[in-house]
Amino acid sequence: MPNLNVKINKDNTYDAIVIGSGMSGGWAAKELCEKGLKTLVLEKGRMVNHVEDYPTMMLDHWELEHRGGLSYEDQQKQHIQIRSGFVGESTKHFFTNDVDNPYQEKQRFDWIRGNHVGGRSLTWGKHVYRWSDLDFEANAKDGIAIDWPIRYKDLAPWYSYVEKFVGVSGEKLGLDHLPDGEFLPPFELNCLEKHFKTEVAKKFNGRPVTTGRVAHLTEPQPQHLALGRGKCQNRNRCSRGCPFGAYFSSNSATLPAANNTGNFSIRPNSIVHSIIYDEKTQRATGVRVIDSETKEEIIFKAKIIFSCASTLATTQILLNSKSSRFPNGMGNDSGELGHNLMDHHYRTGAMGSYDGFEDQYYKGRKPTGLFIPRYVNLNDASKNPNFIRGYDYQGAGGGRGNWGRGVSEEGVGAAFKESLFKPGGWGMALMGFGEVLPYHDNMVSLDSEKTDKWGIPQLVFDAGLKENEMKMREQIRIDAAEMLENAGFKNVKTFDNAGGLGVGVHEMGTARMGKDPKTSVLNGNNQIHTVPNVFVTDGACMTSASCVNPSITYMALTARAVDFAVNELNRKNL
Amino acid sequence: MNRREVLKNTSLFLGYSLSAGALSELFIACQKEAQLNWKPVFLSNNQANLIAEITETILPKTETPGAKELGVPQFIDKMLKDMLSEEDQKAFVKDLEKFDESCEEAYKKPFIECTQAEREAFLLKADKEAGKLPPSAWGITLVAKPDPISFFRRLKSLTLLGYYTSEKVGKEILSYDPIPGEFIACMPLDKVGNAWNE
Repeated sequence: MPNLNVKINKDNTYDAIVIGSGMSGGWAAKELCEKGLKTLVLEKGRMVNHVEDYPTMMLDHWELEHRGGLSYEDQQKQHIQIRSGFVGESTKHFFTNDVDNPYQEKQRFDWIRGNHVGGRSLTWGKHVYRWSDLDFEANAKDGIAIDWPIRYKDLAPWYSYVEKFVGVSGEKLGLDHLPDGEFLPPFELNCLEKHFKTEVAKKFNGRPVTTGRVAHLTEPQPQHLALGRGKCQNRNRCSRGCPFGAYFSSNSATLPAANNTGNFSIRPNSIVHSIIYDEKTQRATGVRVIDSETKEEIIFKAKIIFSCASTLATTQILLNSKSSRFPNGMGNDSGELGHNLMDHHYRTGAMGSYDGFEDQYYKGRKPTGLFIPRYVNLNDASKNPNFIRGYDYQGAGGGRGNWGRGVSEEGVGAAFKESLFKPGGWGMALMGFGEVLPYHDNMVSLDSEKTDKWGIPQLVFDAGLKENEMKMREQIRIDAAEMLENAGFKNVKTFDNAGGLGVGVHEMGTARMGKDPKTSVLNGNNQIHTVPNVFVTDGACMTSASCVNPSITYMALTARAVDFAVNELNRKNL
Repeated sequence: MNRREVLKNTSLFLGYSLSAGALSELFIACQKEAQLNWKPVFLSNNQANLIAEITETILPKTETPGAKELGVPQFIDKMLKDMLSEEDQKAFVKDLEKFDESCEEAYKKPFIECTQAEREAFLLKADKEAGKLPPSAWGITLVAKPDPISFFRRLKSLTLLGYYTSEKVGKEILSYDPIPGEFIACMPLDKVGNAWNE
């Protein structure tokens, strides 16, 4: 694959500008370029070319200076990022430097970011689940916040479209509330996971347990092979970047596809300060960029702009895009910009050990575990009186322990040493992922004084979990323990470490879609109601949060919005 | 980075500012300097020698290498320097000295002069008394406010980390398979042998 094109037009003028190169930005770039638009992608961080910029991808433990640990100096540089638990010696270069990228916390908020080409598409969890009308109708049915302007049928063909390109492994279940997709063969459950699946179905009235649906190529198709992407090798070192291109990222898939059209340029180290609004045409004309290395200010112009900078970076840009028409931020007539911040709450559930299968093991480190689809509040029969909406579970570590068990197990000496060469007993943790409601007062705003070193006003976070989420978390723990106990697990213990909002790394909302410009920022096509040539297709657009991972929905919304935008452009409506 | 490069980098730290370990060493009068065949970057020679004997007691040489043979004491010395805040470094050194003092109380001699049986008994007692690490999954600590990591637990975890993630153990003792290719969901353990290097 050739490297991404970084040559910039002399007149700084394009058909389209995409802000951000992560999950949504990659898709916007691919779709716009494939439809023939000369497209410039502006990326805040440094260049990361597929494979050649994955310095740790092949390293064994002993080849890492601190065997994977993060030095004290790095812990200080990434003091927010380490709240996630995902930052180590082999992945730290794909997480933000927190000293250079400060923000204010009225309430703790864990803003986990990747400022580089590809963004968090390099380090994402890769779980892919379609949303359904259980999600899109939820606000209307509960009478909270505002209704989504779209339904599942609007998105279903676009889910299929993006899934085929992404490559999603999974098992079809035929559930209305977790629609099946275009699946490659699923990862098989191991001995214990299979046992658990059987027991849960038996003891809980057919409750389904399945393998995680993940964006890994288990059987690459021609469209994947054409981009040089290959089959998953079960190394499970994904977050370092995959030498085989086996998991989906902007770097392995959408950006190379865009690059292949000849219509694509990307400019790294380009911090978007604001989007420029023209009163006369009532359109955006371009964006103001600060070069992160030289601090030079540059203006790029385009007919249409896609903001895909990530939920909170997009909202920061819009809030900072002030004009006499929009004194409180671009498109913010409703006053909703910055409000209704959501995430998924997780890090609660139960874990246990299992006596049995001692003579059984596995080969390979598959990049997923098991998944239990939402089963609560689907209908009257499954109604929980204590909270609305629901949760699912992702199974972590449904396998045998390694030598690490010896740290907390009592023992020293020769026999102890030898015993740790053998695999440990079987165990499993069930991790709940729950929906967070869209509360108006869960919000971000711009600090009136504090800026970062490039002069961009810092975000101030004031958001947290509330009663509905806390009651849901209780039920998550109870159910998880009940399932493990019923499946014969021993030493079942619940756990709970909520962290701050944001630690789910599924931040959503703050520029929501809606039918009414008085109560929303975007319409049903992700278009700013009042600035029709600006589109927002990252997580900022979300009107509610579901309990399943959002990335595939951003991708589907982005492809759909580009299709709409280019049709409108061709009809001269933009 | 290969092992040679790690060692090369380690030597970069030599000769720099007086470490917390070396500082406290100034106050220990009349103690004979231990002979080491390596130069610690953080600990004093005596402290490094004590750490070496503790790690070798936890993971002694048998038919398979012991902790010292695989450079675990050197690894711990470097990790203490690179991974801990100054406050935690000072506390560790202080606790290491306390550890030896309580050994003297129990056996009337310092740890390094104890017999293998005495050493093991003393470490097992410390292991029983030291707080456990909180459970974790996906690298996430599953307790909201975990207790601070106790001296012995930190030392034991560094010992095991240094040993079981070493090249010798990872490649020659554990089942080494860096690019598995296929995933086999269930198979007899005796077809694999030792645990996977993961």
